[in-house]
Amino acid sequence: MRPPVARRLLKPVTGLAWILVVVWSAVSVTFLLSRIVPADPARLAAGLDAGPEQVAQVRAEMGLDQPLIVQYGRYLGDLLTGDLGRSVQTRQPVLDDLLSALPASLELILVSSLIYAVLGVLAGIAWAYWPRGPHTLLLRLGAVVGVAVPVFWVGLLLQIVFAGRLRWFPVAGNFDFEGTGVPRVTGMGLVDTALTGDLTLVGEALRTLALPVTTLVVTHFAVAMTLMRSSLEEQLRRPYVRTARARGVKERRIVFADALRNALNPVVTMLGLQLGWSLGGVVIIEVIFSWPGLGLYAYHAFSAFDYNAIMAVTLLSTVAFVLINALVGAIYPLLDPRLKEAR
Amino acid sequence: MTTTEPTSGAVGGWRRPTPTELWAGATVLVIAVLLIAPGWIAPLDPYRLDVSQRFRPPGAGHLFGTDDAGRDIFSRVVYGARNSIGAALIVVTVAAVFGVVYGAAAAWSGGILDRILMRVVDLFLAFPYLVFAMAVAASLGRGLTAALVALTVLWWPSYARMVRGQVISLLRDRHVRAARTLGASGPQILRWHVVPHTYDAVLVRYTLDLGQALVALTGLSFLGLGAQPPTPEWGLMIADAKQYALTAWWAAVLPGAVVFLTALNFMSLGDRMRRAGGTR
Repeated sequence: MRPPVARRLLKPVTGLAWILVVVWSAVSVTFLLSRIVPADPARLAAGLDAGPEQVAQVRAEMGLDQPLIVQYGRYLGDLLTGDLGRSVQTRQPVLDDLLSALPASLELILVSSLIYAVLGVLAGIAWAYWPRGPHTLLLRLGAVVGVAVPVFWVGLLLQIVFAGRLRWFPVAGNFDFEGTGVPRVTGMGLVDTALTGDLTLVGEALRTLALPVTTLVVTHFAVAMTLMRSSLEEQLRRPYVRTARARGVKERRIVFADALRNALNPVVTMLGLQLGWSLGGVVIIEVIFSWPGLGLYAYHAFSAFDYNAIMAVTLLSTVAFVLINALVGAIYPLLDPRLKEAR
Repeated sequence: MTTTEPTSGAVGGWRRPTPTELWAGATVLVIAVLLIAPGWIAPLDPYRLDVSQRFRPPGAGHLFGTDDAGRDIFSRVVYGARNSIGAALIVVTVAAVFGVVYGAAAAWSGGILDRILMRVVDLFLAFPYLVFAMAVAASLGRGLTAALVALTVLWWPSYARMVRGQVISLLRDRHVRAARTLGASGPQILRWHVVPHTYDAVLVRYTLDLGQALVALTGLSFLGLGAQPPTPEWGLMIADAKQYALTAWWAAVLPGAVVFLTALNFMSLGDRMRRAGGTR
């Protein structure tokens, strides 16, 4: 056994090393993937009417005539300087494309995660707190439906009913900055309209968010709810709860002051994982609602074999995923005092 | 198909099947018919175009209506089961078999090899699988096979991790020590005395995963990264119908409902099997 002091000092180091290993593997895999794309990137970049000499020239410019290992080295070097290459489609640096698409996705992800996390946790607590009654049937149904229902189906259904038939919400698109003249500060419609202080504009931004956010909430809240319920129920079976009950502590106090704190840990982990996955999950939603975020950008990149863009989006979501997981690991001890002492 | 219901009565003797077993049996039967003989159910040719029959709403002639090319959507859904459910079956089956073998091998070898093998699993699980599946499918050149490969590559690690944990605890079991005392070799013990005990849990996850894989695969197809037109495939049908969803809602909504109900069936069946089996 390693002495505890050494282990304590080593833990952040191995954690960081692991993050680097994951990111490096993601870089290597995406690089390999980009070199097996069935389309010729030089041909795509040169354009349809380019002759063979032009294509060859573009290929040399892009370094695609070099051996694979040289290309790999150059790619790694470029990455370290923040150069993700140029998109074949938009003809702009991929990094600029990503940065301009990021706020729209973040807005969608943050608003919906906040809602489904709170809803899921509250519903899970209610389920464990009142385990019997007619509402459990509804919650059980919601739990199974919520994990099985395909995102694209919910999205299309909401779009057809609430945008197509009832016309309550716009069919597609995010907040219209150009039409309303709202200055882009963060690029997130909700935040920027709030900065202008005009409530009708905020309402406009909320209307565009309503359907995609509802889709995300419907397809995501069930996991948190089920986990919260089972975790809390497990805590309520523990001896310390029985002791507290025997001592006459109020049930509400037992649940909310003692059991809930211990029960939250796995739920927080799961919510972190879901947040990490959400970048993949929003692709379908952004495609349905033509929401100009990273998902829609990735979708266009996939359809056009825009390999620099594909690599960049994949890398970005991997880095976000790994960092979120590491972050969740780091806030763990704050939630669970036992782990703070162990660390 | 066996389930994890507690067996009542003598082993091998006939007993009344439990509701879960009946449910599982019916599921297997329906899927078998859909995969082997879709022609028995589908009234029309899924590829036949008929411009005079465009955008017919659901009714007597066309149960699910027709699409923009006048094709019968119900027939396309029935034939599409081969591509959608069939593909999900392949993904989860290959992933489960490989994961079980991998996890059992890691647990058996122990020591440094086990640690390396499980680090590889950790690495796979550290990737956001949906984005990677999209990238892999896009790079392999859009098609059902590409989507299949992409999902399978990312699906096996969860089985490996689960089976490894179970095998490690089973190896400490008394019946394994007894088998070893009686002179059974390592592979024999693993094959006959350890791995079969993990099948209950694997079967539960397998059933749940069929639903997950179906949703993931149809999602990839929906993004154009799976089956290509004019193949009848559920996700692709919905993607094609998306552009006219506001006028001819049925073309998108009804195949989507079939995806949902199929996934729901697998997941609630798996859920029920898990609760019936209890936790080991």
